[in-house]
Amino acid sequence: MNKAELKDLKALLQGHLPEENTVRNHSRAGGNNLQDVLSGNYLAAGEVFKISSSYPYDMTIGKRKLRCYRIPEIVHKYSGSGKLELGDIVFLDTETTGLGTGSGTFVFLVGLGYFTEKDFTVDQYLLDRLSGEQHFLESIISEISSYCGIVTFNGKSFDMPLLRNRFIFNGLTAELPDLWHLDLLHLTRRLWQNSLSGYDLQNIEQQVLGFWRNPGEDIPGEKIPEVYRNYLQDRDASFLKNIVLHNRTDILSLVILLDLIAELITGDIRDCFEWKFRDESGIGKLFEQMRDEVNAIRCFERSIRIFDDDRVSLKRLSFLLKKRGEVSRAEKLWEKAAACDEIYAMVELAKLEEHQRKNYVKALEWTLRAHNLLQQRAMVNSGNFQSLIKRSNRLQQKLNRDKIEDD
Amino acid sequence: MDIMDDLLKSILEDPYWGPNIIFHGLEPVRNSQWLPFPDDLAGSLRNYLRSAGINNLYTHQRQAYDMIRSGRNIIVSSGVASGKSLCYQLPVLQTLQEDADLRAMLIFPTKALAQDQRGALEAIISHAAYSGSPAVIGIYDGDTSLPQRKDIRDRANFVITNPDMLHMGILPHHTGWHRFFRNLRFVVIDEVHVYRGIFGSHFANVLQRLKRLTLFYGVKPVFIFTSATLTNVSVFVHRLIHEDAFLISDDGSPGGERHFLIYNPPYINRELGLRKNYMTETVKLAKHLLKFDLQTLIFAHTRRMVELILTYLQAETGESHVIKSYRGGYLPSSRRKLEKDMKSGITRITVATNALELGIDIGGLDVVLINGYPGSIASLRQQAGRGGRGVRKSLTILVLSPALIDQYLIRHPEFITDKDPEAALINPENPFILLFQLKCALFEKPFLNNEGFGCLSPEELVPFLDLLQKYGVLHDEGEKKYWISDAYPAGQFSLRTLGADYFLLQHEGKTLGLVDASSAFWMTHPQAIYIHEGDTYLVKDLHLQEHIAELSRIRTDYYTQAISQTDFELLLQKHSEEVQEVKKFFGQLKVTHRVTGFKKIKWFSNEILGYCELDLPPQEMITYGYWFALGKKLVDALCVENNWNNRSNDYGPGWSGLTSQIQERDGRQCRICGYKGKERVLDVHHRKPFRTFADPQKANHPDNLITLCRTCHRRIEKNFYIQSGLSGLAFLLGNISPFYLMCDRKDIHVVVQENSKLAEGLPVIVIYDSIPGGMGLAEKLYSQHSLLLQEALAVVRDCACTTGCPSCVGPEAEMGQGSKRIVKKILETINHE
Repeated sequence: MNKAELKDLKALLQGHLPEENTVRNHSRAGGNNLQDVLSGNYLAAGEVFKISSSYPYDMTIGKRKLRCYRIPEIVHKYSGSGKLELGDIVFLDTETTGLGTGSGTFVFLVGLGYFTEKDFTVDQYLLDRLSGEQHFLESIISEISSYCGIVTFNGKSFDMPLLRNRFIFNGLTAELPDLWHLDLLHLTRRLWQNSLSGYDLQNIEQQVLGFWRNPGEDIPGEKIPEVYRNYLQDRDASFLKNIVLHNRTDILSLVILLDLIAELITGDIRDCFEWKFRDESGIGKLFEQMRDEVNAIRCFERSIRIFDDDRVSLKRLSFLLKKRGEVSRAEKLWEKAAACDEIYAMVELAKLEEHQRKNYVKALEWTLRAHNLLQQRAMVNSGNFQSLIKRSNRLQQKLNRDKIEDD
Repeated sequence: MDIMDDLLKSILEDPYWGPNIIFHGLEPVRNSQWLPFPDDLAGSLRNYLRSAGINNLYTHQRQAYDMIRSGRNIIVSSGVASGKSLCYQLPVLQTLQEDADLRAMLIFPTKALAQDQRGALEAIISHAAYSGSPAVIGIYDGDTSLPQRKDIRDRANFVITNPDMLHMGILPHHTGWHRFFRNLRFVVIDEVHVYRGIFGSHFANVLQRLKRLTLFYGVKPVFIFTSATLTNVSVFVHRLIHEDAFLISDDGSPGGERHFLIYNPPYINRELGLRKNYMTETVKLAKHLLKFDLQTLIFAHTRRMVELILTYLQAETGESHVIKSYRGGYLPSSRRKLEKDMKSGITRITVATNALELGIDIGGLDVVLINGYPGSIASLRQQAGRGGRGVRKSLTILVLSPALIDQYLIRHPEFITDKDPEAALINPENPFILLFQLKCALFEKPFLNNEGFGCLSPEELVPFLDLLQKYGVLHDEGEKKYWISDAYPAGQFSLRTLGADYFLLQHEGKTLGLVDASSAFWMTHPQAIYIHEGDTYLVKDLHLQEHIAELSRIRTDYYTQAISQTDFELLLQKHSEEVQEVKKFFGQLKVTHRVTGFKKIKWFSNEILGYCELDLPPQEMITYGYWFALGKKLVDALCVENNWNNRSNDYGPGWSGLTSQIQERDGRQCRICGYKGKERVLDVHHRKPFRTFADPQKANHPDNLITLCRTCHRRIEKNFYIQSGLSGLAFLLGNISPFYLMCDRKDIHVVVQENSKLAEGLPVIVIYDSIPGGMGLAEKLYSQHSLLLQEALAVVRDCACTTGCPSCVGPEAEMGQGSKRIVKKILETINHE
């Protein structure tokens, strides 16, 4: 192919490509500079813009106060950290040019929130030109490095891998420090299992934290890449302001979300907005996973009290009780579950009758009930079914032996 | 006497088979050539080799070892089962002994091959007890689970993958692979000859992207290729990686005597060129083979054909337990069982598609029976190479179909045994492919101002990058150009397509498949009969906006054939030359294609049931074409010599009544010369030829009819007469060209124009690349123009039929009257014979 043939590449490709995007003109007249719209300053090399904002502790967000709090032990356990002081933690959120984690997605805004003696501060680093990425990343790493723990929302699978990619891409020798990392998305999913219509931060704000963002000051997440793209092309910073606000709000949401989670896990039941969606069963599971059986039992019991048909909590609770030797309490639960045709409950009852009470007739009764139920459900191929057959055979033998002895 | 000799005798001397064996090739015994193990080979690897019964290396294996160890790129081009894998396994494993962090990437064209190669590597590694931590091997493809993926990225010394995964899953995420890339020493590309056409052109660009990233991570891996034996494989590989690679083509492995027979099914009707059904003949031969204690592999083109042959064979022999089929689409476990039974000899006959062609280890077989020419010489050789274990004798029988391309092979048996086929053409600079690939490259790493790509200089990249900027996906900051879109470009296209447009085939809301936008109009126009995986569908609607062809299941006794019209606009004439009576051209063309209607044709009898018109918008594309025009002298000479054929066409019922009406209207005189006498017959002529109409009523509309005297009528009809010659010639050239291009028939389009703008109103035949932007096919044909026409003449001259058949110029009924005679005349004149 020579120059003449390539001359009108567009004509050549015509009819085989999508419509052209509308590209805004470069350096539009009347456009605003960063400093006109945002109160911050350029760092040394002039390619990174830093914005700092402070919030007093008594400020209210939604229905919650931004106040000093402690992180409950279970959260420390959950994320595998030792005990941390509040001042050791940094809240992190990024804005990017896309949702993928491939090498073509840039991080252009990083917000870092932390508690000081007198207030809560958010430092935001904005990448003003892509060529300044290395400097941008270095500024961020030097700030993060002074903390021991990091709190994010979906940071484990998005923000942190993406930042790590950018570090590698820029050939930075200093790697991201291996901080204690608490991803609130994971915790939120556990605590409000199946009760929210979505698990993005905005849904959580509206359904759990009880506040709505001001549409005039925010920007929908999906619009962010485009706005930044336009800024790079036309240098008009007017629309960047909303991205910066969006990012800052994300960080404040993280802070009060963690506060709420701490309170939910440790606190008593109260009748307030936040409690409505509390998933006792999920919290119970969390405690169970962290081997805190006492609290787990407390949560499961509460859940069953609220939702009569919470079979999952019932099952977990019954096994926890069995484990702790509270057999009679467990037995009551199994009877309740067996009435709802739960196979596991029948098996447990059969075991109880066979091994503890030596009542083989009753044991066989439970076994056959479970057996027939599985047959009805056409689940005869399950391992469960095979062990039921074994059990009923064994019980038959035991009964026959008893009979012979009686005779 | 050897059992193979018995078999050969039983075929060659048989009164039925013998006379139809039209070729018997023999490759003599090949002695092995050995060299000792290289001095630096580690004891553990020596031990492994000895335990596998290997005490020396074949010469090509040793040569490969030495070259790779000295850091040279190599191509190992030797026969099937010549121990190609060991050529790279040994040097790579030896280097691993010296550098435990070593990483190597192995690219196989199919998943099945990847599985086989992992097994082979694992066997060596587990035998050759390694000092330190054992080497890790991982297959990274679409089936790899997420947790495995991370492990493979971080730890695997050998990553086995395929081109699609490299493109979609590895390169765009290279930062996640940084440990891998920083230690990447070897890239092994197996069976490189399969990368042809669009796939190959994409792959060349994917390798450029890989090289860009290895440069970024500061490594320069050695490239190792294995290939079937091809003539210009070095040139081909250079097109792929823009680096030299040392060619190792001396095959040091031993081989037994190899026989190659071509069987041409006998004629049923010589004049019409009809031969016995080749599949039935294949089945018959296979039944004959069962009488001998030998293992046979039968290759057929399609899954359906495989199933048909299997069904016939099982039914007619009653030995279904020893006759099995092997094709794509099996579960891995059944596939392995089939392979095991083949290896152990339990299965006596295996009927397979070309899924078995590529490297799957099933051991050697005695007889390979090929049901119809597989479409390329490389593929034919690959299939034949399945025969032969060690030094035992082997036999391949190719059963020819009546298709021109099969019959053409008879003229060139040397293709099969002597001359190596040429590597296929690829065109990595096809602008469509390049544009998509550049998006991916930009996503992976910003472009520097002075950076080129492949063989494109920084200046040549400018128009592409400018276009990407206009599309809003590129941001230029002066020194560097960045990807700035939120899209994921590697997810937007597949390496197997042009990346341009396609239509979805939908049946009851479910998507059955895709069809290229360029083919959608003629394959899936409204009311077309479309056959998908053996099922027949009617196209209910073609939604042009949504790009959906809506299908419904139907049972019919007919198929459809689109009628289309093609126009050309010459954009840039690159070469032209007068060659004897014709002038040949090569240039860039704008092709406007319009599907105007379709015919309904009855299955088997090929009777035309009706015509329908369609109202579809024209499609345009820019591509490259080769065309040649018959000179005026030639056209005149043809007219002088023409023998007027008085057979009249069937113009439908009521034609004779209509002719007298028209003659009445025209005052019973010739409308050209005004002749009114009684000596010359008056005819009624179609201004626009009858057969160009979909609807006979429109053709016979009085406005299209005119009264002419026989003299004038003849003069006018000559043009159309020449056209039937051109159609026949086009059919012929379209079918033999793929031989010289190593491409599929559908990669080129052939169009006849009797009065063409491309050559000042002369009759031309245009052959153009069917892919927008071209693959370089037309240009190659331009350079082979004379050879092509000589070959064409030989085919026509030697074909036994009288008036045309599918093996030469196509059947007379389709091509028009006298086409064979005229084609012959044209070709004789051009070739000065």
